[in-house]
Amino acid sequence: MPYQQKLVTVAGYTVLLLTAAIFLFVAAQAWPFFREQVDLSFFTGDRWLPVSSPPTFQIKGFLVSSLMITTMAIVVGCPLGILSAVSLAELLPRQVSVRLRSVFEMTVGIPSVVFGFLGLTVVAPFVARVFNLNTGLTGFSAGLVLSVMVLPTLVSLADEALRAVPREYAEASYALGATRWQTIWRVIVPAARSGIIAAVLLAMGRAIGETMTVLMVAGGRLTTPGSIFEPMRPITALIAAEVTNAARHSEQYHALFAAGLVLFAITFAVNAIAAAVIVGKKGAA
Amino acid sequence: MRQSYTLPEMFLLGTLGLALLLPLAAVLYIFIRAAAGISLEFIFAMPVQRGITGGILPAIVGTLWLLFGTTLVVLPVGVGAGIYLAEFAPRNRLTHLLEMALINLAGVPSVVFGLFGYAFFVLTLGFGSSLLSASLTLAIMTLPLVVTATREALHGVPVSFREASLALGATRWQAVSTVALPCARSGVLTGTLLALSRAAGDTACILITGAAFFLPRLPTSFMSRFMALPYHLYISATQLPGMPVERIWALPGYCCS
Repeated sequence: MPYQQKLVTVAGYTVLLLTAAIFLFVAAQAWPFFREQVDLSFFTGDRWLPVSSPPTFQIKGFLVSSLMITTMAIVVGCPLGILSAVSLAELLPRQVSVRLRSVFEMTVGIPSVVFGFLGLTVVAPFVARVFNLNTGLTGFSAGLVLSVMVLPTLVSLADEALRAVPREYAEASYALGATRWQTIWRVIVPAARSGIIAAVLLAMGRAIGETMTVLMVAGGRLTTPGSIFEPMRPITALIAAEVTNAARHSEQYHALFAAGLVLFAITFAVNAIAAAVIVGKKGAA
Repeated sequence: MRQSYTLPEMFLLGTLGLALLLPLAAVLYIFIRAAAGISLEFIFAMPVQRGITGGILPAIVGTLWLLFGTTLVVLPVGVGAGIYLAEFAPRNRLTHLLEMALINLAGVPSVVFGLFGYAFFVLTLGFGSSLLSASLTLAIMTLPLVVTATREALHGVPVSFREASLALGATRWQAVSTVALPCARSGVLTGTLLALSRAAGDTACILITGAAFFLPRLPTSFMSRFMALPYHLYISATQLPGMPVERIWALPGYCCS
């Protein structure tokens, strides 16, 4: 084996090693916290008090916030994204679709901090006025911004899934006298279902992991929000806001890594389900 | 052939229009608002008074250094791993595990990479809050993009190309490096640029691993702290009352371009 081939093999296994290292390292930093923690109050409690004595670290509020904002982003983003993908894949002439696809790909490059800034200066004041709130910095505004941010992921993946449906399916449907509308909703979309579900799951993973936007727009209140129209702080924002201020090996430091581990586990699960949905489809076909 | 659409189909096209309009309008709005704040002085001068007057040169230079450092690490490792997966990896369980690791690495939120970078590079290895820590963290974050792009680009090169080269007496490595890789060049390049645009815009990672808000001098080595455009925008927008509005708007203009 020439040495170059050995080098690329090493590079390949570096990826594997890194993934394991990230999980193990974050888990190792979180371990001292979980060792002290005897019950499930970390997940079920509402109090995050890092400077009181004794300090309390409970993350229910952050988990609920993450859940609310992600749900909002998906509920608003999904219809828009999936219907757009149907237009791209089935309605528009090929040349037009190709151009529009590249526009969607361009919008992936807009940094999340820029979306956060727009949310802060444009969306939040707008939401405050429309719903007559004291502050527009709420989960609702953050969810709204996130729903636009997940569009490129949703559209490109759903579009890909729709285009992967064999042409013969549509032709058979037309041959039976179905209209284009019937063909799209009775034949093509059901055939692409697993790909579309995977697209939604991956978009969800992105929304859960999004940090800067929610840090800037969601408002940052530490307690469990009663509704989506209240300020809140998702788990990503909690980590970004506090980790550099926590003294190394302090209880807060370990608690933040514990929160990071929970976040890692959630996104891991969502992505694994998405992968399983795709693989399962391939196995069945 | 002219297409004609029924009413419900037009509704679908309308949603597509809306989905395209929202991000485009956002970008346009930023550029219009940014135009007022942009000047040569803003780009080429040092910041004064915590950035309220003066320019953003250190942030621009800091971001360029970050990209340079990230590329230096992610390009050889990412392209190497991509070549391995596309050309040499045997079809066994370990390779399958590697593929799964790649998918999961791509789904890890950037703030978790930041946590890892902070605990590993900043604290454990003692690199401190520095360009080095941040570049390495960004390199890990963008690694899956480069690996996947390289692998897909190589998959796109017809097998017959390699076979022709092998038939002429080339070794397997020669067939890959002199025939397949040059054909896949543009795909690899696209993937790398995508990765770099992500690294340039990322804030959560560098906020944890070493970006400084106000540092009116250019970074001197990879061990220095640094300013960076996205972090500068974050801080200016959230932590600094009294920041002139048009100066903030000018920032995302640069972040986007």
